[in-house]
Amino acid sequence: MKKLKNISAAVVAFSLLTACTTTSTNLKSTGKSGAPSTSSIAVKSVDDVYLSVVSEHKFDANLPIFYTDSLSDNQKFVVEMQSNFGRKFKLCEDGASCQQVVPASAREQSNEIRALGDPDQVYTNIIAEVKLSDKVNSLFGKKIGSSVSDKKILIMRPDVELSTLTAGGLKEPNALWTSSATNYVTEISAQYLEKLGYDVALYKDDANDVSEKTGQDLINLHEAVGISVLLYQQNPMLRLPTLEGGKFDWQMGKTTKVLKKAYGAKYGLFIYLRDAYSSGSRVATQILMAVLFGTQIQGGQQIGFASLVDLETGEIEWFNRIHSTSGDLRTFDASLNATDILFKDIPL
Amino acid sequence: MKKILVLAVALLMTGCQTTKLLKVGDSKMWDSYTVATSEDINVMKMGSYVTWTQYGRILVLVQFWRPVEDGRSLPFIYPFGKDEKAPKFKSSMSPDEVVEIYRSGITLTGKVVTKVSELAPVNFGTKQGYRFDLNSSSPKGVDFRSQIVFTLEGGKLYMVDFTANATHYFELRSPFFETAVASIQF
Amino acid sequence: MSLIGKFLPLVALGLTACVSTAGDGPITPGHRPNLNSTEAGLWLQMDQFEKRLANSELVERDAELNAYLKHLICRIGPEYCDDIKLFVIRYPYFNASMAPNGSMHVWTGLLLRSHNEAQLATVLGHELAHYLNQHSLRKWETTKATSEFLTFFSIATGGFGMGIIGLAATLGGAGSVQAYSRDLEREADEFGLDLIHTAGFDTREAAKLWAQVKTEKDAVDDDESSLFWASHPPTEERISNLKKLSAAKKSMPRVVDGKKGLTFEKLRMRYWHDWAEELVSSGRMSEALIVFDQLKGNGFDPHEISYFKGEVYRRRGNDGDLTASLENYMDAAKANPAPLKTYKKMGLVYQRQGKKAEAIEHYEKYLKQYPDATDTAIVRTYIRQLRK
Repeated sequence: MKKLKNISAAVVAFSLLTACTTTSTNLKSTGKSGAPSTSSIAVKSVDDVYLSVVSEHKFDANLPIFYTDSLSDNQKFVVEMQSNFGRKFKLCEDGASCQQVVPASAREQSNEIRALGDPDQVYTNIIAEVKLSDKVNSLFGKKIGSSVSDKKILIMRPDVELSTLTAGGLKEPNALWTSSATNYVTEISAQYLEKLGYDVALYKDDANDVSEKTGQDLINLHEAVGISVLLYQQNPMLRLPTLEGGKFDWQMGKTTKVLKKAYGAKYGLFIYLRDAYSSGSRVATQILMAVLFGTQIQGGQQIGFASLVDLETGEIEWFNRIHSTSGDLRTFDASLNATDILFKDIPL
Repeated sequence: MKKILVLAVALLMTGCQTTKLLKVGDSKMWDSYTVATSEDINVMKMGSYVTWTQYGRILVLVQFWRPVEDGRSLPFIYPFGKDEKAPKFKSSMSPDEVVEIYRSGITLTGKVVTKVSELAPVNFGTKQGYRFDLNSSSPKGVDFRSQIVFTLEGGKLYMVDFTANATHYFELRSPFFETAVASIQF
Repeated sequence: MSLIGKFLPLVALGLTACVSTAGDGPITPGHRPNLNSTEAGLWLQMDQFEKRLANSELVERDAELNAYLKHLICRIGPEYCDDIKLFVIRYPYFNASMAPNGSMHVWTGLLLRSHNEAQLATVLGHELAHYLNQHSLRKWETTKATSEFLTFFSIATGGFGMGIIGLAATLGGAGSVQAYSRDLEREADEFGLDLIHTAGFDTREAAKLWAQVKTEKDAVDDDESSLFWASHPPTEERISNLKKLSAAKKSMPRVVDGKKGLTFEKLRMRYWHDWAEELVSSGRMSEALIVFDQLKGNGFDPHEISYFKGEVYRRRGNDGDLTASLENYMDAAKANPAPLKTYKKMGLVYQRQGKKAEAIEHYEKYLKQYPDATDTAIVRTYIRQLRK
């Protein structure tokens, strides 16, 4: 009895969050501090930036093609991110080294690949372990040098959790999916912001004399604040009367100053993602996941939001959420899509 | 987090989720005392509380509890079936004992109490009031800070509970709470 | 797509479904699961939950206490020392648990209830055994296969408000809220006993500890109680099994690390007032009384024990309890001066009973004993009010 009540309550609650919302983006009214960018030129979206560099991708025709359907137990794929959102696909065997391949699948190509204009027409939309590019990896714990420019941003560790919903209603966290999505989002965000001309640093626990607790407290608070924005600002059913008329005044608090000092950034980017995917079976191997789930999602359990925070004041300058189901975050294409949606109209 | 969502749903379903705007000025609480808000704020009236919140109950709230009578338990939201276990207030109780049953009560809701301060005598209107601070954590490790002010009058317990997320929001809203308490008049 | 191509995935599914991802036998030091495994999912959940937990106030951070416990764990499982992350949780019940990612949670209630270091080592060794044999992973897979349990990890990580309780109850030995696995428990008892014996502890203490907690458990029978004991029920079978096993070990040579034994006593003495206070505040009065009586027999100051028993009665407040509390406080007051806040609490009881003169007398005694206490202001307020 309790079981049913809890599941249905959660489902209803999720749909409440996402249904009946007219706005998903909130911009802090330009009162004292104003938005980061007062330029009238619309900033390029993630998609725009991606499309402008996708032609740089060159697939080596001499690389062996490997069919994802024939992956054995001691083999796995690893996606190594490259500059310009490129990817190298490695086939790794237990105990042996990895070799670069071009993945393919007997299954039909995803329509989304064609839509995004990837000319390569290979099956790159696999679910696999993701390694950050060397360039992005070097951004962890970086201290941005002082300069006149305001274009300095710190990306906090994305708070991501992707799970499987088993037939019996159990939510099983999936480390692979979560790690992949986290890395995709980190890589895509970092590259995107750099291409917009920003000096980017990535948060790292205990780096630059900032205690793990300080960073973790802020990441935790972002969850509470973000959900509060979803419930009490954006949802007309639950909107607080003091927020009628669109007043947007949410804060992360004074400790963001510590981050500003430590990383040299002016802005902080906080990202939160939760999703669960229905399945009729256990997570067993990569091939099964790719074959069974592909890019179809069942059951919109997705919650995602992002905040741009002025690290000096701790105030949220801009907030956006993902709509009900905007993409399967386990794959590159969908992560790109989700990030694109998430950063829509970001005032940079 | 699921708990928050379930709570939101529960609130909606019970139909008691009528949040209204309260403008600066006095309010009469439970036909017993008046208290002033120094800012326009959101107010919700439920069975045993009147709640003020500026940012929503996940982050911060001030709750004016219905006066607790002899033999009744403190009006926490207890999980299913735990009401009977809740310790009961007795008119003969001292303030120290009120703190003890508050602590036991909040523990029953599933939170873990990590720190309780000593009682400090304060004004509750013109009555002798008492104040204490309490730190608690949700089972997932979300830390909260509370400051509670109460008085014992006519055999009843009058309590005002200010609780907020320990990161930033407690400090942010403390001055508002202090101002409100100072404005209490019987 | 050929017919084979269509059915291959299904065949693969069937095959892999039969293969358990839990290994056979103990895990190797430095073990890290394949990212794409159930085990990795469990680790992830734990890691994320832990980041939150580790930075919250639920964790007892005293450096000496943590160092002592870590040293003890390393004595019991030296090869795994580096893999294990210790969290001391401020929760006044008997429990410890180990998660699949090597995190060990030790509740302060366990520290209070262990009469000596060997008893504490028994439980730590037991948990270590579960971890080494990947019991929680095995249990998780059974759970999933039967689909009997609701949101295993939601419960474990606080999704429905059970949080830490659920964590210990589910990820502890048995990995189940509703039932435990006899086999897994027996296995952990045996393996754990081996571990502590090799480390030089008196294994006879194992059965004694379980007998102690059995007395406590038998005192109460309710839903919450059974949840605490769900993962490690102190059954007669367990006690007798442990007795047998330890008898078989008596003849083997052992090395005793006497120096460290002192630290256990010293640390316990430093903390037990706090832990006792938390136990009294927990509201589980019958259990608390039993624990205090057991500690009395264990060499704790009997006057201080009486004080805490007085606290239990006073706060329970059933018929006759106030009288019982006074009896205990007066017993405590036989020590001169009375321990802790005996006089103040007596004042509270007299005030409840309407005996103003006695209340004032004891409040004043309290103020005289502790002129610089942090609660003098409030006590003076009480006196003033009583005098009106």
